Amino acid sequence: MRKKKRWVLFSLCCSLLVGIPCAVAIGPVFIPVTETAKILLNHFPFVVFSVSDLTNALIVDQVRLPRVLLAALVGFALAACGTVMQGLFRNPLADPYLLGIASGATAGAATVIALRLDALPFVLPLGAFLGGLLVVLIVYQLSRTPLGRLDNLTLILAGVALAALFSAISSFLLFVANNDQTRRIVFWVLGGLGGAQWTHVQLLVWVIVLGMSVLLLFARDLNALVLGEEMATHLGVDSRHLKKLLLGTATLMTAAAVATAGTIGFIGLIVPHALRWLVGPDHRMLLPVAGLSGALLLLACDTAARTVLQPAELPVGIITALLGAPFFLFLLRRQKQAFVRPLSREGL
Amino acid sequence: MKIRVCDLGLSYDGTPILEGVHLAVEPHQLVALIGPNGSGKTTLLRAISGLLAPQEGAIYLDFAKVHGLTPAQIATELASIEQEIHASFEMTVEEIVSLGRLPHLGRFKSFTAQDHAIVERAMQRTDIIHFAERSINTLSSGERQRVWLAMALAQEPQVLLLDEPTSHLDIKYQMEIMELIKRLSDEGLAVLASVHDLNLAAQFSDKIALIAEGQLLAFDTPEKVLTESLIERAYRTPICVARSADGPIFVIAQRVDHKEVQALG
Repeated sequence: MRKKKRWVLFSLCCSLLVGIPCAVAIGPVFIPVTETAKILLNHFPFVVFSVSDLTNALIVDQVRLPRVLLAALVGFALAACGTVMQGLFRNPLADPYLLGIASGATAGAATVIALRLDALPFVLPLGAFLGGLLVVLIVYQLSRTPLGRLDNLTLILAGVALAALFSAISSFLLFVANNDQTRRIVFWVLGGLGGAQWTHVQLLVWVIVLGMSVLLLFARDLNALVLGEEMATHLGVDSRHLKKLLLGTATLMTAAAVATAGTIGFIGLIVPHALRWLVGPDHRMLLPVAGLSGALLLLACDTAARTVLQPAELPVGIITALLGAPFFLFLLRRQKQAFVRPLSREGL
Repeated sequence: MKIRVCDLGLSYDGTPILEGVHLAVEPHQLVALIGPNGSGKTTLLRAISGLLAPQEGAIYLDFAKVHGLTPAQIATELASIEQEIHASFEMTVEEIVSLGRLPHLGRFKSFTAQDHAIVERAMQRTDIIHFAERSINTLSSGERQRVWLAMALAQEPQVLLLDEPTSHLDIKYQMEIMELIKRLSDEGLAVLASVHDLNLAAQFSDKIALIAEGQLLAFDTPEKVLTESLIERAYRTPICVARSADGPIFVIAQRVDHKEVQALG
């Protein structure tokens, strides 16, 4: 069993290592994989390959590589956050979108754009983070019972209501914004990786490294939460503290993803499901494996998004939903017994 | 290690749930907590396990106040099993029992061979090792109850708190679980278990704590607590207590004549 799990982790790493150069090679201008690999390897110290076509090098370095890396990072962040939310709320439906965090972050980003503050560095991600945090705090307060527990049903309903509210705010801002602002807000609402820049990649790398360190350190505590808050406390976990810490971390990661790529749904919902089924519920394995799968999935979806209707570009959210929804239904059918029982007991 | 509950008072939102409760559980002792529904049994157990903070009085684990300890400190000495536990995701029996090692693992320490041995022993003692690989959601209530007990044992506690470990079980499983709990207390654990079935309490416990409406009505040996007057006062229903010559006590609820109930008040 353990060997099988290690093998899943290993093969995911390998697929990502192969997938990134392949995705970079694909595009309106096809650049052979070998040449792509040479251009990429040139970034490592002590490696010097001669690259014949400087245009290709430019396309790879400035256009495709940041976009491909961003897709992988955003996918990683969303899948890892979805895993944490499902574990925290003991609810297989919890994900950054359902709980309204992504809508809050989008509204935050839209507000920053509408107030013309987005020229300043890091104000946009900060706005997204504050928007997401606001939603989390409201949802958390609303669903707290007198004993300090979280009521799952209220949590989801509050999340849905707040998602609607914050989407309305985004739409309103869209309505009153001028042309240029509209274009940028629409980008956030639809979601997409077209605006990828190296600064985005850097931001996400830091947020993910920081966030994943925290998540992995507390992964074992998160495992105990599967049995409920009371049992987790009996097992020595400070549940309230844990919830605050992990929720804050997941919000930060979601906000960073939304700030750079807009709202991209379904990754945070389906990836944890599929992987929990494959490697089991231990978050120390599940978190990295789900993250890597999310990276691989969004990478594939984004590559499809920018090539299927060439030269036009599909919003990647359409592809993730087209793939995600049927796959989710398939999983539902597959896990019916394991899945429906705890749900009905929780009163949802 | 012993638990002492001193003059405990606890209320939710201004409604008093427990008042002036005094009791103590010593090692090698199995104390049954009995009382009608809503009398405060679960609240008392949760207060002792540190989940709820008392407004009055204090609870001591040996000489340490429970409410001055962190959940992790409590969990190394005291294991507590809630009445209804649901695993929200598929987990195998072994994965769940392994959670019992959590309080003993530091944030950076990994599971050692010793931890594995403790988990395996806990599964052997509760006789669940033959389905260690099965998913918890596929087990029967009786099997699941043994899994929670194994998890508690993996904590290597000195004190064990159980909230209705025999509810939803048929008589065979009830006896099996109670025998197991009794054996654990004989081996040195201090056990406090809330029990609905008064005859099980009579058969297995060393002492019985009877609570009604948040107050401790009696805390003594089964012979002294299981009397018609005390039980009728607590449960407000006619009771007949039969004692056989060689010891066992039987508590039987009687069919009610409605006038009589009004007289009992």
